[in-house]
Amino acid sequence: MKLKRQANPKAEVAMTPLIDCVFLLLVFFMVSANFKAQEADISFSLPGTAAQSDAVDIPDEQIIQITENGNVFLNDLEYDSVTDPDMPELVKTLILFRQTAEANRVPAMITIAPEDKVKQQRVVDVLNACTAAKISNVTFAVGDEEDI
Amino acid sequence: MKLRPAEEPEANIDMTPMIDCVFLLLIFFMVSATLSKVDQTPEVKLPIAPKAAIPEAEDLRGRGVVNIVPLGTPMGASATSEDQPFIISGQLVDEKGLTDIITQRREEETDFRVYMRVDKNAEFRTVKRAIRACAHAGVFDIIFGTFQSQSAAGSAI
Repeated sequence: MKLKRQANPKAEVAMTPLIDCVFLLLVFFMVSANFKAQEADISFSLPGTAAQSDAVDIPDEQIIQITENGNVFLNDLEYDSVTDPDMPELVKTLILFRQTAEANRVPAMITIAPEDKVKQQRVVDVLNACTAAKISNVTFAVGDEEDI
Repeated sequence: MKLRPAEEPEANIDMTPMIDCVFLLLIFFMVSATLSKVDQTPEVKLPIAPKAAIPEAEDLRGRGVVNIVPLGTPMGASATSEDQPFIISGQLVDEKGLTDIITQRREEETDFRVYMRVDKNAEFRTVKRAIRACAHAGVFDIIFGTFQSQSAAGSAI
């Protein structure tokens, strides 16, 4: 008996489902990538406990106060309007302050003391002004009055 | 005259280069998607700070994320309150819980820092409590999460 060999058709892998699948994944990752905006850092460090309890001579420190309404005070002088997020006057003063401190070879230090009801955006505005003036030594006056 | 039509070869489009290309794109988007995996609570609307720096990839390691939203913001079944104002991985915690979690993480990782994602409308009173909890846990380096521009903040919603 003679078995006729079936003509071998071109051995093709079906690509279509694979491509469908890959396209779907591609679209998914493209969409999810586009929706994520990158978050940026603005950092500060707390004074160590030693700095608080000991009477260390802290070189050149300025305190910036923020009131409930968003007014910013440095040395009892008010800077910039409540609605201005860029605070050009404050930045100018802080740059001068840093330059003075550098001339005296002491680190410039800023302590921010916001009132309780100050919104975070205003706090970040002031931090942003410090960053703009290239002052990295920024800390917060937190107090310990509610200590357990 | 009789023109014999040329025998049509199977009209096949060569798929290979396209698939190569698509795979490349796929891998690119997959990698860029997995790069930014932080505990992002969508309720938090970050404040804007144009001078803030976008961190390097290796700088993102060792960060513990604390989310702070204005008091009374609904979170799942409950809402943030005076008693439980902080959100860590979707869980509401109080000051003591926060201190405990940070203390524990600090023991596990050497260069541990706290990354605070504070809503722009949150009051400083709440932030102050979180900062105090960090100080109690012995962490003095704190980072505030921000967006560099309004447009970045808009697309994040």
